[in-house]
Amino acid sequence: MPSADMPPGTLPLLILRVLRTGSLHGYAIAQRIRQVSDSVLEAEEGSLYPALQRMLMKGWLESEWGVSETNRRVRFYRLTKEGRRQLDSEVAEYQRVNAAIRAILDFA
Amino acid sequence: MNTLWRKLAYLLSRRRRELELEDEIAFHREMMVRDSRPAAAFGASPLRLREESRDAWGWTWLDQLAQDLRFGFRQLIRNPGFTIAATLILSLGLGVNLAAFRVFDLAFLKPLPIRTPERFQRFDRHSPEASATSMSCAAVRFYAAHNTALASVMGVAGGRLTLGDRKSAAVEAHFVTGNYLADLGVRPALGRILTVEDDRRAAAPVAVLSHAFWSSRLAQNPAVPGSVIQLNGKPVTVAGVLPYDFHTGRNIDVWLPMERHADLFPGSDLLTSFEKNECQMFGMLRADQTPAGAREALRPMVAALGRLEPKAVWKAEHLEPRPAGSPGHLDDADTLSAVLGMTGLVLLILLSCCANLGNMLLARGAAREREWDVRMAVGAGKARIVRQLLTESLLLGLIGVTAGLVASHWAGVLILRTQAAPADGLALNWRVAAIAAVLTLLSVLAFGLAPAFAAVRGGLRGTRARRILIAAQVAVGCVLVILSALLDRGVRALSGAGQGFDAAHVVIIDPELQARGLNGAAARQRLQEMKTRLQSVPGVVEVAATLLIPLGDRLSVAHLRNPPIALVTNSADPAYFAAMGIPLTRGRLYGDRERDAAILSESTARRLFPEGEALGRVIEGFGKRTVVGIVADTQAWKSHDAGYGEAYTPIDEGLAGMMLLAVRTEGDPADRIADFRGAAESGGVTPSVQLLRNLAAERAGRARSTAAMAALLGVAALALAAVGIFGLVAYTVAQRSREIGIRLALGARSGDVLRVVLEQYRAPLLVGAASGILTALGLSQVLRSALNGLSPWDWPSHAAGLAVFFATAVAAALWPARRALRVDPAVSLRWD
Repeated sequence: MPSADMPPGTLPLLILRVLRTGSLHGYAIAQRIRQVSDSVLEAEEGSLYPALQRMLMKGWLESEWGVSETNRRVRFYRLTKEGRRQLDSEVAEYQRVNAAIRAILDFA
Repeated sequence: MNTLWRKLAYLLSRRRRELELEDEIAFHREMMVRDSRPAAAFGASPLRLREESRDAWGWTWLDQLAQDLRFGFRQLIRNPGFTIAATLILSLGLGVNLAAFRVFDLAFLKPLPIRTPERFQRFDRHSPEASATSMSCAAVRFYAAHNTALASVMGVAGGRLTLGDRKSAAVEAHFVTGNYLADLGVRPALGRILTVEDDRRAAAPVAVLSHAFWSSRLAQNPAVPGSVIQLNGKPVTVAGVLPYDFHTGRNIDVWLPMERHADLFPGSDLLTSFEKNECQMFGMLRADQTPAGAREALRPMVAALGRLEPKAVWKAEHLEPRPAGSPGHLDDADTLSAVLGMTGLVLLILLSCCANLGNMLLARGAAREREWDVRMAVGAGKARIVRQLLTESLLLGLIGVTAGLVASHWAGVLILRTQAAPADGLALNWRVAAIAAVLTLLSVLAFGLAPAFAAVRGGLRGTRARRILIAAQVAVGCVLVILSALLDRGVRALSGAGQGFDAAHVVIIDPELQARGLNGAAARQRLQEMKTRLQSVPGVVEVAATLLIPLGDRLSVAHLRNPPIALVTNSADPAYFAAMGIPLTRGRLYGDRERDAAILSESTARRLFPEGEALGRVIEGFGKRTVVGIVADTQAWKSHDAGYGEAYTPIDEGLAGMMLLAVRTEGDPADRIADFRGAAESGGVTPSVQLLRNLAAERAGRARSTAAMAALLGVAALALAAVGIFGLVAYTVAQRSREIGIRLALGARSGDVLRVVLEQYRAPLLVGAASGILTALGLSQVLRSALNGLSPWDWPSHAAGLAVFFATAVAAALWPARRALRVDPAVSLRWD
C-alpha cells in the first residue's frame, strides 16, 4: 500500500500512542508508526525530532539515555503522567471529530 | 510555569543538549543505512533539522538577537564618525531630559529621609474666609500638649542666628518641639538628638547640628558633642550631629528646642503670643488614619483652643492636612504649569534629537540599499531586516542613554547649584532608571522605526518620513530659539534694574526687631536709636528705614481693581529716596507722619492716570491716599510688565518691627562694615549687614544662570536643526548629481538648479516654522514668572529668535547646495 500524507497535527498523537506501551528511542518510534499503519503512515523523520523536542518542552515526555539493540548509546522517550493525560484527551477529541466527519460522510 | 523552568534549564545546558541531539540524529541515520533505507528520507539537511529541533526549546530569538547585536556592533565600529555623531546627539537629548527629571525627582518625588514619610502632614489653618500655612507657636504648643488626635504633633519655627564672634555669617536655625526629631525617626550621626526634656523651661540650652554645618564650619571634629558654641552671644551645648542625608527640603544648620527661642532672642514673645504666626505645625498620622480623619479628629482641639483664647482661632476654623513627606508638591497651578512647561521643553529637545538621528539613519539606509537587496535575495524576511535595524537602533540607544545618564548627573548638579539647593541626593534611583529606560525605548522607536521600514519598502526610500522629520526639527528649533531669546531679554530687563537707583554706595541692615519681640512704638524707638548711632559713623550720608529693598526677597503688593494693577507698595522714611539715590521728579516728598500721602513712580503714575496729572489725585486700594510726589522708576519690580506698579507710603508704626535700614555712604561702604555692625548692635544682638550691590548681584546671577541654561538649550536646538538641514541637502545633492548634471548640460541656470535641490524642503520648513511659533507663544505664557516682568508677547524676542533661526536654516541649506552648482556634467554623467 502506498504511503499517505499524515493529516496535520496528528504526529504528536501518534507518538504519544506508540509510547503508551513503553519507552522507545526515536528511530523505533518512526518504525513502529510505519509497521502498525502498514506503511500507510510515515512519520517523516524531518519532523519527528522537532516534535519530540517540543513534547519534551511541554512536559508530556521525559527522556533517559540507554543502550540500543545495536549496542549504541541512544536516547529513550517515555510518557509522563501529564503525557498520559494529554493522550487521553487527544484520543477523545480525535474520536469526537472523527465521528462527526463520518456522520457527514454517511449522510451524504 | 514548569515549561518556563525547563526552557531555562535548556538554555543553561545548551551546548550539551545540542551534542546529544546531534548524536541522536546520527544514530537515526546509521539505523536507516542498516535497514537499507535511503538517507534522503530524512527530508531535510541535518543542519536544518537540528535548527528546527532547537526551535522547540524557544531560544531562537535569543540567538538571532545575539547575531543582530554582534552585527550591529560591527556596523557601529566600522562607521566611527556616524557612531560618535549619533551618540552625541542622542546623549544630548536624553541627558537634558534625565537632568530635568532628576531635579524634578529630587524636588517633588523623592520622599524625605524620615520615618513613614507617607504619613507626614503639614497642617494649615483654614476657615471659610481665610487660610494660612503658619500659625502661632503658642497654638502649636497647645495642640502638641493636648494631642489626642494624631500619632504626633510637631512645631517648627525658623530663625537666623549669629555664631561665635559677631563677624561670622548667619546660621539658619529651626526651633522645634522636643518630639520633632525623635518622631521623624532621625538617628544621630554623633552624640544624641533633641528630646522632650530639652524643650523644658529649666533645661540646659542644647542644639544639634546638621552634617553639612559640622563638616564646613567645624571640620568634622568628632569631639563636638558636649562642646559649647556661642549662638546670638549665648553659650549653647552641642548635643549631637544629624546624619548627612537628613534634610526637610531646606538647608538648616542647627536645630534647637523651641523653648530656647526666648533665651536667644531676649524679650521675644514668640512662644507666648497667639498673634505671631511664625510657626508651622506638622503631624504624623496614625497608621490607620486618613488625612480627612485627622482633620475631623482635630476639630475638637481647635474648638478647645478657641474657648481658651478666643483671639487665637478664626471663626469656623479647622486644620487642613497637606502631605509633607516630600520636599515639593504639585498642588498649586503655578508650580504645575512651570513643571509642565519644562517637561514640554525638554521633550521637544529629545524630539529634535530623534528627528535628527532618524534622518541620519535614513540617509545611511539609502547608502546600505545594496546590502538589503542582497540579504532579501538570499532569503531574509522583511521582518528579520526590520528587527535587525531596530536592534542596531537599540544599540545606539543603549550607548546614548549611558552617556546621557553621566551627563545628566553633572547637568543636575549645575542646575541645583544655580538654584542654591542642596545637590546631595541626586543619586541614581529606580525612578530615574525607569524614566531612562522608557525614554530610551521611545526614542529608539522614534528615530529607528521609520528608517527600518523605509529599508524594506524599497523604491523611493523614506522621502516623506524625511520631510516630516525635518519639519519637526524646524518646529522644535524655532520654539527653543524664540524661548531662549525671551529668557535672555527677561534677564537683561532685570540687570537694567540697577539703573533706577544707586546700589554701589548702600548697605542694608536687617535688625530683625520683630523676631526679638519688638513691635510698634518700641520697635520704632529702637530703630530711631540705631539710626542716630549709624549717622555718627564717619562717611554716612543718609540712613532710612524701609520695608522693602529693590531686588529683595520681600514683597508687599496691593491689588488695585481699576485699572487692574498690582502695586508694589513700600513703606519707607522720606529719607529713603536720597539714601537709595532715587530722584524726585515732580511734587514733594511726604512727611514723616503724613498718614494719607503716597508717592508713585513715573511709569506707575502714567499707567494709573493716563489722561493727565497724577499729583493731587486720590488712590484707593491701600487706604485712601493722595499722590504728593512722583519719583523715578527703580525698575526693580517687574516695571516692564504693564500689570505692575511702584508706590511708596510713610512708615506705618504697626510695621516698624519688620523694617530694614538702608545706609548711604560717601566712599565704598565695604570698608566700614565693622563700624556699621558695631553701631547697629542693640540688646546684645548684632544684625546682619550686607552690601546692596552684593544682594543685587546675587539675584541677577541666579537669573543669568537660568537664562544661560535656556540659551544653551537654544544653541543646542539650533545646532541640531542646522546639522539636520545641512545633512539632508548635502544628501540630496549627492543623490541627484546626475540629474543636476543633465540639467546643467542642457543649459539650466544656477537659480534653477538651486530650486531643484531646495524645493522639497520649502513646505516642511514653512510648516515647521508655523507650528514652532504657535508652540512658542503657548509656552512663553508658562515662563511668565521667569521673565521678570517682560511680556510673553514681547515681539523683539520673537522676531530676533525667528531671524536667528532662519538665517541659520538658510545658511545650513545653501552651503551644501552650492556644491550642486559646481557639478561638472562631464564627470557626473560618467558616474555609475
